[in-house]
Amino acid sequence: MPRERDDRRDRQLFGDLAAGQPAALAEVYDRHQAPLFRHACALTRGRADAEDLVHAVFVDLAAMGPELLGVRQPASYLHRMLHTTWLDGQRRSITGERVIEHVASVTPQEFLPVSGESIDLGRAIAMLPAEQREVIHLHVVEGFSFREIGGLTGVSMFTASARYRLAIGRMKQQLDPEVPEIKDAKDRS
Amino acid sequence: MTRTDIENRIREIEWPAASATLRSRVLASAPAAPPVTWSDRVWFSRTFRWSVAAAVVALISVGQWSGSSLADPATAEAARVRTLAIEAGLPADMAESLARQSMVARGAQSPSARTMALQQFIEKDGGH
Repeated sequence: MPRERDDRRDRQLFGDLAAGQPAALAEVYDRHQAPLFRHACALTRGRADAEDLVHAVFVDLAAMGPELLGVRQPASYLHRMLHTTWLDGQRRSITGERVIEHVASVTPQEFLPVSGESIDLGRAIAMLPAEQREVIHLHVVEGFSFREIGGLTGVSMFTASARYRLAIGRMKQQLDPEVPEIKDAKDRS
Repeated sequence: MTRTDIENRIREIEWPAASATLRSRVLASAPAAPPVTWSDRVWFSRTFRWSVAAAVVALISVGQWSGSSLADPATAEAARVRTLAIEAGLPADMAESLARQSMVARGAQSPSARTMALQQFIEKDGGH
């Protein structure tokens, strides 16, 4: 699924968007909505929340203006925006400005694939903490390196890599109960 | 089950797609961005930023080069020798020649030793 990113075309589109061309936003949306929506699903585990998150990212992008001219890696930039928007939403919910209690109540089955074997895998992913789901998704599905993931989630490359190893270990344990349980005391971030 | 097995199975998962209405929602609610001015284009241009960085580096190196020539110890010492010789009553052309010689002979002795030697010579000679 990871595909080559065409940064040059994306930069052109960002320039057009900064110049106020509405067609550019439509093209940016068409090029990036799928990976962003998958990323949002990995974070929120709810379709409605994921759509709200993606919507917020594109609205922010359209309002940004001249700053878009300085963006060098648009795909990473969009994923970073999505991560930041999600984080802001989490902080607001924690401080009580908004009440979002649905994360725990959303059933992971909403995103599970149809085939029998993958259902367990989907559940295993859904049971991971959000940061680990995110790194699994960005690395395996979208093809970002740990350095890029660190950059767009605001942690070091080593933390991103540690989260990934921890997530894989947990999934192994859940998919095969004979595997010894993973201790995640080190993953404090 | 290895890590590669898990990764391959994750790649096979069919992730959900956004609904068709999301696109129209995004396009309908996107606000108009503030207009881009020529100064924005210059400020965010990569060429401009590289030029500024290169200019700063050039200014720093030029400043260091000119500063180092002014503070060159050989020149400073030659000037000191010239002044000392003139103060001791030597004619200007001889003072100049002494100063030149002190620069040529530089390296054989330390600057302070040469100045002291000159001072001793002048004292012995009595300025004549």
